[in-house]
Amino acid sequence: MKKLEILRYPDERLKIKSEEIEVFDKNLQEFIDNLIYTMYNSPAGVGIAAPQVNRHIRAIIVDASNYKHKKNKINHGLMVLCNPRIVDKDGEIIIREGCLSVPDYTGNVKRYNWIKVEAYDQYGKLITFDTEGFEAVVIQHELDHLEGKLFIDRIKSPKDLFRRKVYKK
Amino acid sequence: MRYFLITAFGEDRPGIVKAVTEVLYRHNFNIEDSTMTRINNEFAIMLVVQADDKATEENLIEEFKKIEDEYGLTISVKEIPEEVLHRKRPIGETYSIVVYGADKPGIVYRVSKLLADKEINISDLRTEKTKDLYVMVIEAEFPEGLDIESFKNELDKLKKEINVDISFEKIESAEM
Repeated sequence: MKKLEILRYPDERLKIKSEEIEVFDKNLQEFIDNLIYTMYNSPAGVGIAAPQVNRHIRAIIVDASNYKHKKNKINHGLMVLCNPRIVDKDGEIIIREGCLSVPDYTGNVKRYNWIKVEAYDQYGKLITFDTEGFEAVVIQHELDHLEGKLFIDRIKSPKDLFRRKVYKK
Repeated sequence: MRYFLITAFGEDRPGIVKAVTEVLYRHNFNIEDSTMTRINNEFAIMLVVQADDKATEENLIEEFKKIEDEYGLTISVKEIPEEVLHRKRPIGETYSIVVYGADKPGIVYRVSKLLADKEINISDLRTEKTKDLYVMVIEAEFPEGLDIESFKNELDKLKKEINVDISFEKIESAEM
């Protein structure tokens, strides 16, 4: 497995809308393995979307268990979601989000607190589940990547965008 | 390259940001960092610009004279040595601290004194006030090795003393 190169803004390729996956073959599974490996090898990585590594297909990886957060109460561990869709939603939640593709900023973004998701795993098997809180936020953040959207696009006020100021020795 | 901190303030009206940044634009100076906001009915600008080597405090002040008169602004210019601009202090973690309660004199002082005593560095602070409620939001850098438990105890003591609510939490973000 290898760590894939993550595109960083202002790379225009982050703005491309991703295509539906039609063939669930070995090629896809191999790519998914590398994508998972890339996420786990990024600090505090809880999610990644295929377009972040310049593959414009509708695949995202989520592992909300990879991070302690007070709004992280339920999660499904590692999930591969191909062609994911939100089929129902409710409520509101705001969490400070960071993004592997926008490393210098974090932002408070308003998302749905509860979502019901339909997707396929990397073998083409249908998965349906609902989730809330932190995991729901991660999924919505990754879905935005598939549309060519970044969390900065959702910032409503200058008070909600933060430059990372932590200088480690 | 030289760096300058420019402050400008005056009674709020349309065009203040345009007037100040037009001067910078004309000289091809780059804004490195800025905060611009309306505070009460004054509009206040603080910004750091990167200028060329020929720029000096005196000639920048001269440049701003015209818009000071035209827009009723008070403008100051201070050079920042480059080594100060880029000096990085090692810090532990960043926290947000929220203080709220009935308005009375001394809230900012008492809270900031406790932070100063603990070597906690404030990087951002805003206060808002309505008739009955005073709210202060602080972003602060805690030094490495700060005893969080004892800090919490002292905050609790202060809360009772000045009769406000105070909460704090570490600012963290997950990478998605």
